[in-house]
Amino acid sequence: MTDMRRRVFIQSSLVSLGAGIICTPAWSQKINALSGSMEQGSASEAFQPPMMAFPEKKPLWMHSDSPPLLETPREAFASAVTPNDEFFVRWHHAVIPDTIDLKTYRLSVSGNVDTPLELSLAELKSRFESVELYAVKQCGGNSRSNFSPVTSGIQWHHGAMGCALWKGVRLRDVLAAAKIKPNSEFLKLNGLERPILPGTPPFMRKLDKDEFNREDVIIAYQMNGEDLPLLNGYPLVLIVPGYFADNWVKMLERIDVLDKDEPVFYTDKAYRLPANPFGSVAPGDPMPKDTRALKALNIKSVIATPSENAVIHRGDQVEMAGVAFDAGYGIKEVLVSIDHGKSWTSATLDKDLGPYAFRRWSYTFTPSKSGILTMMSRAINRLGEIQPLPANMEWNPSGYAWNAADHLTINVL
Amino acid sequence: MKIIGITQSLAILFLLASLSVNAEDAATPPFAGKTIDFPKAYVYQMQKGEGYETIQKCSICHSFGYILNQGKQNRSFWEHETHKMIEAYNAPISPEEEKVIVSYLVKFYGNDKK
Repeated sequence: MTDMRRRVFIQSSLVSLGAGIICTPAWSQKINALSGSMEQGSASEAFQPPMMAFPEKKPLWMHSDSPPLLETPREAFASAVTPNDEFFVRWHHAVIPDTIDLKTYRLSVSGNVDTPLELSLAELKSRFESVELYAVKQCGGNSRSNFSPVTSGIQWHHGAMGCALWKGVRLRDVLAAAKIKPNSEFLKLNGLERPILPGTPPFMRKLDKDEFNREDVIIAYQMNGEDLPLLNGYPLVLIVPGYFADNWVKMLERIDVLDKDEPVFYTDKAYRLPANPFGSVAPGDPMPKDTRALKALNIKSVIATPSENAVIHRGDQVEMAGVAFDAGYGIKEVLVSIDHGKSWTSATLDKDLGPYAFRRWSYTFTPSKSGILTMMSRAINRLGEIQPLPANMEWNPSGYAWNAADHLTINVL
Repeated sequence: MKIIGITQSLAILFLLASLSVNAEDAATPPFAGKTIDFPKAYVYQMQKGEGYETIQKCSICHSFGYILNQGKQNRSFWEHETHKMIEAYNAPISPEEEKVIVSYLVKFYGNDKK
């Protein structure tokens, strides 16, 4: 859908919903956004999470300590690879082992297989060919704080994402070793985290046949050349390149092969979008009855530097840098603007680390007049998909998959 | 439980200590794996007032960061969120407690928006 058509779609929704009622502040904010002024959502005005260093981590924005929800500062995205100690952390449940003993740790593969497996980490490493790839892991709720009206869920800024070099073994090789039966349709995967209450649905995910047969879905034991940080899922994490992070099960302990579908809460009830092609509803509307699972990443770019509200002197050179990514088609171009979207030019792309990696980009300029300067970034992929402008961003009730062109403001003296 | 004297306890301690040292020297491989110390609980300070005791139940499963993070929201938002915790996550909250929690959230973390 072109931007123009998106705009018409949202505006007509606004008109039909707004007919006969006085605009509330939330609505007027959305309308301001439509007319080009880009105010932040009202979500986190009152609350600034503390910075906290967890084991193996630098200080990160701590939205919650239990379960731990740690956000990477924006400046980290000036690099195509996110260091392990700055990589975001997001668990669903509060019971997370503080110790993994490799003497007793096993990954089990069972269910619709002829040879159930109980693999130690050493066996997994020695029995299967190792593969390495760069891939972006991004939480479905990343950048949620940009949605207006506010949606329920953690109000992440842009830091619930990262890109690492993952090393591990192919999921399908492990399934083949277990002699998975030909009529297998789904996998149910879970890790070692547990809810506090027995009645709370455990964190499990489901992959379908097309997904578990992909040659690039891997069970990773290394991240950027080191063991995984415990908080990122030591000793094993599932990597589903091009998919949102809810599929990337941490501390993977069990793969259950199914010959037919069965409901799994975190795939069939949670992490859902409206079933229509845009995954959206009119801003403020509830989730419709028909929904679909949140899966492939959408095209996105984020400005990392300079820092928000940085003070720059007129005539000083400024390097604007950030990252762009999509579901694996590849970034073709990143457009940047230093006049709040009035004019655009191409940023320089750094080397390509693979279809699922962050593509670093940069643009150097010298501001010539003083005042507030709003820079923007907008990525285009090889399919020709382009990030929507913020005013044209579709809205969904859970605040997933925000991918509007990014913007960042600095002060020029 | 049998009470033992201090001399006996010390003797047992010494015995255990020497055993563990011997064991380490001999066959036991060093620990392989990873262990971390989670930081002690952080206090996300909530407003004190009517319902404060009841909302402590929310922290059975999650820190108050989850609530503060949402910012100030309207009644229907908080009703929806609170009910979701009961419906979807089986939070042990009675209908009476649910009302108290929603009133608390609206009073201290509410806004006037429709």
